[in-house]
Amino acid sequence: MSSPVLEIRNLCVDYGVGATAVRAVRDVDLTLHRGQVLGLAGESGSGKSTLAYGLTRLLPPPGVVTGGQVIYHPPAGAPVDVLAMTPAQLRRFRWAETAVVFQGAMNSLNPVHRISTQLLDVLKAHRPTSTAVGRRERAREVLRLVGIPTDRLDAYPHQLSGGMRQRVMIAMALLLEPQLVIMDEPTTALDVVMQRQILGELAQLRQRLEFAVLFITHDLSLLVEFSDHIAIMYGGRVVEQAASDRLYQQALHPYTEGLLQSFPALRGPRRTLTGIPGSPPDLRAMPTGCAFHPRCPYALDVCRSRLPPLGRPADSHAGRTVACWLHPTAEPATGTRP
Amino acid sequence: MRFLLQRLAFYLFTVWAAITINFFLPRLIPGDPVRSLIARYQGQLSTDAIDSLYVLFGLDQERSLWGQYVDYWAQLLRGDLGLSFTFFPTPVSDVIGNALPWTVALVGITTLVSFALGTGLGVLAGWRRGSWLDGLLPVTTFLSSIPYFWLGLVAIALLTGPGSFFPSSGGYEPGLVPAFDTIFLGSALQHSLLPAATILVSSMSGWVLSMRNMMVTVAAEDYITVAHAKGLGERRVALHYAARNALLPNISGFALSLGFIVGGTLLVEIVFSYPGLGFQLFQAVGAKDYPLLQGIFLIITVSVLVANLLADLAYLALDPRTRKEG
Repeated sequence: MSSPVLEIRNLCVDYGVGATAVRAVRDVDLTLHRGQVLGLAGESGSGKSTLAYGLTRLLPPPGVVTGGQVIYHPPAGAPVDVLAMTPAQLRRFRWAETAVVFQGAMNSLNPVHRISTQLLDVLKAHRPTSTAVGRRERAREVLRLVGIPTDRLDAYPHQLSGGMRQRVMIAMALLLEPQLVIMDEPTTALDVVMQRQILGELAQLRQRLEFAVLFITHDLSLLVEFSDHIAIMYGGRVVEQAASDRLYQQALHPYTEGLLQSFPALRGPRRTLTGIPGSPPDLRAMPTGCAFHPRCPYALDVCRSRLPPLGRPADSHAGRTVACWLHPTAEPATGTRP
Repeated sequence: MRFLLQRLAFYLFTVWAAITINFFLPRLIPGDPVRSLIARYQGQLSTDAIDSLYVLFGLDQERSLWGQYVDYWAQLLRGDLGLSFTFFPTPVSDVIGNALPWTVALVGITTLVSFALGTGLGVLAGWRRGSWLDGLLPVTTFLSSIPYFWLGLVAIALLTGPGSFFPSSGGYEPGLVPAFDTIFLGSALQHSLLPAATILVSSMSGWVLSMRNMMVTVAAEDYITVAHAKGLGERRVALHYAARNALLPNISGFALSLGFIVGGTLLVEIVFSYPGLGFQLFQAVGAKDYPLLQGIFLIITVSVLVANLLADLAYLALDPRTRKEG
C-alpha cells in the first residue's frame, strides 16, 4: 500500500491525573495509510473511542493524553505532530484534514440551528475568502453526495429522521475533502437496514473521494466486510492487527477468536455462538501479565506474569501482528506496519 | 399560527377566570368595605350616606350576585376599577396609575439588568469550568439565599444615615414636584440606587447559577464536541452552540420574573418605602382597601399572563422544535 496518512506512536491516554489516574489507552501504535479503511474493534471500555478522541484532541476532561505522538502526513509538505499543534494550528487542522463522524446520530446536530447554518459555518471558518453563493453551492453538493434532497438544506435537525441526520453528518464531514475521516460507531444508533444502506453509500463515497477511514465499532462482523485492516483492542492495548480477510479466516489472539464467535456466519456450517465469558478488565486494577488471561481458555503460566509484546508471530505470515504468548513474536515490533 | 391562536384562547380563558375570582374573593371575605369605612368614620356617617356607599361599591343588597357580576364586567370594560377608600374618593385606576411607573422603572430595569448580567456571567462560568470563576459559585449561592428585605435592611443600616449619599426611603426628595426635569429625575435615580442594588445582588445570583449549570450540561452534548471538531472558533462554539441552547430553559424563568415586575418586589418597596405598586398593595391590605386590592390583583394577574404570552413567543422564536411543521 501507499504512504501513511496518520501514524500513532506510543499513544497513552489517562483519565484523571496523579495517583487516581486510570490509563485507558496504553502504548498504542497504529498506522493508517492513504485511502485505507482501518477498523478498530473491541468491547465497551476497551479504549477505542478514547483513542479516537485522544488523537483528535477532543478528549473532554478529565481525559489527558499523557504520551506519544500522532503524526499527520499532509498530501504536500512535512509531517506534523497533532499533539504538538498550537490552538490556532489545531483549529485549521480540524475538519480540513481530519473530520469526525460521531456515535450519536441524534445529538450531533445543534437542535436550534438549520442544517444549512451548521454546514456553512464550517466553510466560513475554514474558507474565509469564499463567497456566500459558493458556500451554499458546496453545501448542496455534499448533500447530493449522501443522497439528501437539496431542499432539505434549510430544515432543522428535528425535521429529519435519524438516518438522514447521520447522512447530514457524513455530508458535513466531506465538506472540506479531508484526508481522513474518523467514524466512531457511526451507525450504532440506527436500525440494521439503515446501517447497511449508509455503510454501502459510505464505501462508494470512499472509493470515489479516496479518503482514509478510521472505523471504530464493537461490531466485528461489520468491520470484516467494510475495512481493509482490523486492529483489535483489549484493555487499552492493541492485541492483534491484520488484514481483515486474514483476521476473519484465522484469528490468532484468543480474544479475537472470541469476538468472531460472538456473531453468526452467513455461510458455512452452523456453529454455536459462544461469546466470551467474564467481563472486560477493570482499568483501575489491571491483571498482571496479559490483561486477557483471566478470561482466556488457553492461558499459560507465562500469561499471568509477563505482558506479551505486540509483534509479528513466528508461526504466521508477515503483515500481521499479535500480542499473545501462544504465538511468540518472531521479531520485536518496530512500529506496526500492516 | 394555530398554535398561537390556541395559546391566545387559553390566555383569554385564564383572564376571565382571574377576573371572576377577583370578583368573588372580596365577597367571600367576612365584613365588607362599607362596614370598614363606617368603622373608619367612627359612626359619623348617616344612614343615607351608608346606603349610598353600598350602592357606590356595588354592594347594594337589592342586586343579585349575577347582577353584580354583570355590573362588575361593565365597569371593568369602561376601565373603571372603583374608588379607593384609603384615598377616597380617588379612583383606583388613578392610584395604580401613579404607583405603576415607579415599580416598572425600578423593578423592570433591575430585572432586565440582572437577567442580562447574570446570564452573561453564567455563560462565562459554565464555559470556563474549573477556572477562578468557579470561586463565584459559593458566593452566588449564598447571595441568592438571602431574602431581599433583609439585604435591604442591612443596606439601610450600613449605607444610609445623616450625611450619606443614599436616601433611606421614598422615591424622590420630599419637597420636589414630580416632573420630567433633571432635578427630579436625578433625585429619583438617587433614591432608586439602593433598592435597585439590593434587588440586583440577590436576584442576579439565581441567573448565574442556573445559566452556569445549564452551560455545563449542554457542554457535554455531542453537538458541542462536533462544533469543536469542526474547527470553529472558541467564541462561536460557546455562544452559538452552547449558550444558545443553554438559554432556553432560562427563558421561561425570565418571563415569569417579568410578570412579577408589576407585583413589584413587595418587600423591597416596603423596606425602602418606595412609592411603587408593592408598597401600595401593602398599604391597601393594612387599610382593608378592597377596591384597590382588587385592582392591583387584576393588574398583577394580567401582567403575569402577558409575560407568559411573551415567553411563549420567545420560545417559538428561539426553539424551532416548538414550532409546528410548516
